[in-house]
Amino acid sequence: MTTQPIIEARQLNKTYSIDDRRIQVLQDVSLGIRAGEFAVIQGSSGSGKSTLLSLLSGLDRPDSGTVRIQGQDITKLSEDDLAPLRNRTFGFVFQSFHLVPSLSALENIMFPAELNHNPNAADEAGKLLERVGLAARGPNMPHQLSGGEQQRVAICRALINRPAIIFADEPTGNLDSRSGQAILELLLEFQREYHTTLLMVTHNPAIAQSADSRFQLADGRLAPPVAN
Amino acid sequence: MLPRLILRELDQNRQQTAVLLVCIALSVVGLTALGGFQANVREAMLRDARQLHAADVIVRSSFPFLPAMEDKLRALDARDDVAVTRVWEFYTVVRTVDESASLLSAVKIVASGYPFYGQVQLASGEAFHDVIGPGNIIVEQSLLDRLGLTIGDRIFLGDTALVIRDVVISEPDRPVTVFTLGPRIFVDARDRGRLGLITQGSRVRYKALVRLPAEISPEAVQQDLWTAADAAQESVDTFRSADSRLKRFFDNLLFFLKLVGIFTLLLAGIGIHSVLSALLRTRIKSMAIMKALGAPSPFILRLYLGVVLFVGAAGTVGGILVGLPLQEMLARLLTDLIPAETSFRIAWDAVGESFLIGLLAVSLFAARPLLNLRHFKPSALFRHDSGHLRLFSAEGLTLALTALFFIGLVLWHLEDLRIGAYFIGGILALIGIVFGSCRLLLASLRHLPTRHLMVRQALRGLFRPRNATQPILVTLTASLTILYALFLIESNLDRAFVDAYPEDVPNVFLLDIQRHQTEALSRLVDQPLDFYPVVRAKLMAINGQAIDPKRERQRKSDNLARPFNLTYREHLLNDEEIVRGDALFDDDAGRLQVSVLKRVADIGGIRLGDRLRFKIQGVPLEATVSSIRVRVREGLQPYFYFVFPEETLKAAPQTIFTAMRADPRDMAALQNRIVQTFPNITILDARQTIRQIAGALERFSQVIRFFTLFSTAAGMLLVISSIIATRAARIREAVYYKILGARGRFVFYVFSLENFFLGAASAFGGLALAQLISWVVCTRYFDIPYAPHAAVSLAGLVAGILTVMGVGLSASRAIMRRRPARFLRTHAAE
Ligand SMILES: Nc1ncnc2c1ncn2[C@@H]1O[C@H](COP(=O)(O)OP(=O)(O)OP(=O)(O)O)[C@@H](O)[C@H]1O
Ligand SMILES: [Mg+2]
Repeated sequence: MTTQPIIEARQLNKTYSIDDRRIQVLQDVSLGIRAGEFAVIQGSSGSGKSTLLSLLSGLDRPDSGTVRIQGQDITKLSEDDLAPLRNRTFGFVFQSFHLVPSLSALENIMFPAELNHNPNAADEAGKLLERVGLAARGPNMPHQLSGGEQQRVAICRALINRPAIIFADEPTGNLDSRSGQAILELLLEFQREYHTTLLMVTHNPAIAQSADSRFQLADGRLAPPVAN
Repeated sequence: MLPRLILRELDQNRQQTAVLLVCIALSVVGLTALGGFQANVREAMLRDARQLHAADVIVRSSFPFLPAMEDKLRALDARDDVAVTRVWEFYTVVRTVDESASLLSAVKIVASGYPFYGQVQLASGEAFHDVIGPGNIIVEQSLLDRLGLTIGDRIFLGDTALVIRDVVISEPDRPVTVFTLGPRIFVDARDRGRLGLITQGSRVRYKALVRLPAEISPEAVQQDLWTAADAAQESVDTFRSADSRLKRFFDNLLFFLKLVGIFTLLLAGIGIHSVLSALLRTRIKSMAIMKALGAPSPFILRLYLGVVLFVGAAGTVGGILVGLPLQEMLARLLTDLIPAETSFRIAWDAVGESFLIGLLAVSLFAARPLLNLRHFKPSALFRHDSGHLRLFSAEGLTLALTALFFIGLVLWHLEDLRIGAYFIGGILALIGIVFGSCRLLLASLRHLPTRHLMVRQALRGLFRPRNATQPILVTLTASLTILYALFLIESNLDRAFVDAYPEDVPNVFLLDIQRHQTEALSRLVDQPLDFYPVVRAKLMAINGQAIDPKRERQRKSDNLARPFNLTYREHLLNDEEIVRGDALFDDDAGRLQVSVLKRVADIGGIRLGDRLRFKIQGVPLEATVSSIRVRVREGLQPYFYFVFPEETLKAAPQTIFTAMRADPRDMAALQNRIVQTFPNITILDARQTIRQIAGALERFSQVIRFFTLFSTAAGMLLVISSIIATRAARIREAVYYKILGARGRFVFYVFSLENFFLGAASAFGGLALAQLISWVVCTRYFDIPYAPHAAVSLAGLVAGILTVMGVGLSASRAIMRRRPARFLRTHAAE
């Protein structure tokens, strides 16, 4: 590959300490992901997948090592410097949805666009909702939606600012297999349509098979990447 | 397993546990200290009422007793088992024998037998009766100091020289030494004849003291004496019914302190309830899991009951440990102000009471959320946001119990059914108003359309599920109302008493002036003087309705049955205004008229045109009310409840006085000049009195402020705890904002705005209600003029809003600068 990776991690280390014990969760992890790629992180429970994802997306800071996004080292950035990146470059989809509980479905989707001073936020959010088949659920508050519906709203919210990268941490983990499948298809559909980079943590081998590249985590270490 | 789980619960909620502990401890500290202080004051005041009056029955008059009364007293005295003695009290100026110095003194002439109860303690340790005798006097140490004399020296009372034999340390029937104008001199009654001249010119208070054997009821003797008394000038009291201005002052003080106590308790109670509810709210998940794992409801109930009781006991004991030394400290602060013979003790009953109340309040306020646990379904596990969890729904029984507990407490503390009923009604109305207006406000905010993103987020934040905005708003408003009301009442009490003495008030009063001396006196002091004639009289009836002395004595403000000072003049004073009527008097009314001060008109319900019947030394006088006046300034300026036209009273027996301002440096010379030229004139140097009164009141307001502080602390805690309760929800929201790309500033502004809404709504509402409450309490109960104290109010308003904002923001500060991942992990699951 000749193109510069859009995500590039070097020698990432992360330890947690509880009382006096230190647990090394990630050890010398390095990886690169190209723009427009669909990449998957796999590994057994507790192997450090979520931790890695949060380091790559700037939600957490590594103990050492660097993360470059589009060539820029984000590990040294302040929270406020990260804000525009999170708003425009990243989109997040989580296992437990994380919708803002005081905002309706429509308002949740609009929110990142409004932060970005997009005057058409409401229209665009409405279109996205329609696209995922929830046009009638716009005014619902999050607790008035089913899990699958909440996740679809979360995906719309992640997409509204057309981010270059979407981070998805087991987006189907809280859903039954049918709605899980639907969510995955939705994500992939958007990824292809918007040429977005999609980095997903998943346990689903079938999905992993269809990924452009796969990363296998075991005890905080990365096995050599497998290209499909 | 249970104790371990209890400890785990406490440890996991350290912040809330701490707030709960302090809430309970504070209320107990406040109650213990307050209860002890009250008990000590009350005991000092009523300790031995018999001793405070030195007799069983007391007859008083401003004039020599009339023959009918004299006969009755003689008949009583003739009985073997009854004793009667006489006391005459007046102020006069005494001089050193070389005429070099003089001093206004409080003379008390006593006949043998005085005092019937208690003792006059002398510095020499000898018995009072062995020392007092014809030609001998006993004085207070300050007289010796100020005149430069020692025991054995002689002084002039009028023209009579008497020998100082001893120094008096305390006397039983002079409860407090603060409000006196000069040092005490005891004179033997056998010298009274020799002092004749001065006793004629001065205002003498005549007293007869009666001692009864145990089998005769003082009330029966009182009834009997009443039949002979001329109600216009003679009053008969038993040691039980006798009321003093001082007692009234303490009554007011104690009432205010009770108010503070109840408010503190109320605040602490609300605090305990809201912290507990918040605590349980955050434990929903744990409880659900325990239930799902098969833990029976009683187990969970016991767990949280264990938590509550542990914290309740710890807080109560801690509060008592702090409260005890405080009782001691307060007692010391007040030692000078309370009768000299009082000894202070720890009020264990107050300690016991606060202990019981502390535990009872905790159990009661905790009962509601705890009982609701039973209805709790583990299905809460399956909802990510348990928006409509009925964990805190009203429980009729505990609600009623709580209300009963509170009502009982108020009645118990106020000891007055009527005022208690008003009080409870007021509190209920307050809660209703606060609750209703909070609902209204929230309902209107909920549908407020706004385009601005930050404002909208802030408003939405108010309605975030599980945020409990309405209870918090009600709690905040109620506690701020109470705090503001306490401050306003205190400021008004301060203003009415402490600040009533500005710099330019008269500092010398000249009493007992004869009419023919007025001009010469003006020349002597070299300034124009206003002379106020004083005619002593009693008010007998209003519109033919007789004044009832028994009822009058129960008034908190003033007593219409007491003797009044009437005056006559044709003009308004420059600190007076007419509020009813056209002028002081109607020119062509054709009947007797009187102008009434609004204050006394309010007390007696007197209106324009009413007929007032007075008795002036036995002579009746009926006049129609021609105007009602108010005083525009409070202070030491002389004022009169009843003013007559000159011709009506000019011939009545009267004394004349004047008030003037003298340069303090010339005071001594001035006094000597006046005493030498006009020996009959009494000079009252008010400088020291003003200083003494101001000093005493200052000290009382310190005590009041001290107790207000407790309530403030409890209220502040409430504010803090209710906001901490929403901490989890806030942090979660902040994390979401950040993940979606909001800067720290955005989060800061949204939360500031949200807290500002909360703070402003509760502070404005609280202040408005507090103004209303303080106005009612000040004008209706304390009978003092009310000022809204705009500056204090504004400061309180700002302080309230800033506190709410500050506390609210501090809960979300950590999230602004740190990476969100850790918060996402800990708070996501809740
Ligand atoms: N804040 C923390 N403090 C201490 N240890 C932590 C913390 N967060 C994560 N860990 C530990 O780090 C390890 C990796 O956690 P992580 O959430 O990254 O695992 P994961 O691979 O995403 O697992 P799963 O598939 O179950 O989600 C786990 O063993 C976990 O116990
Ligand atoms: Mg994970």
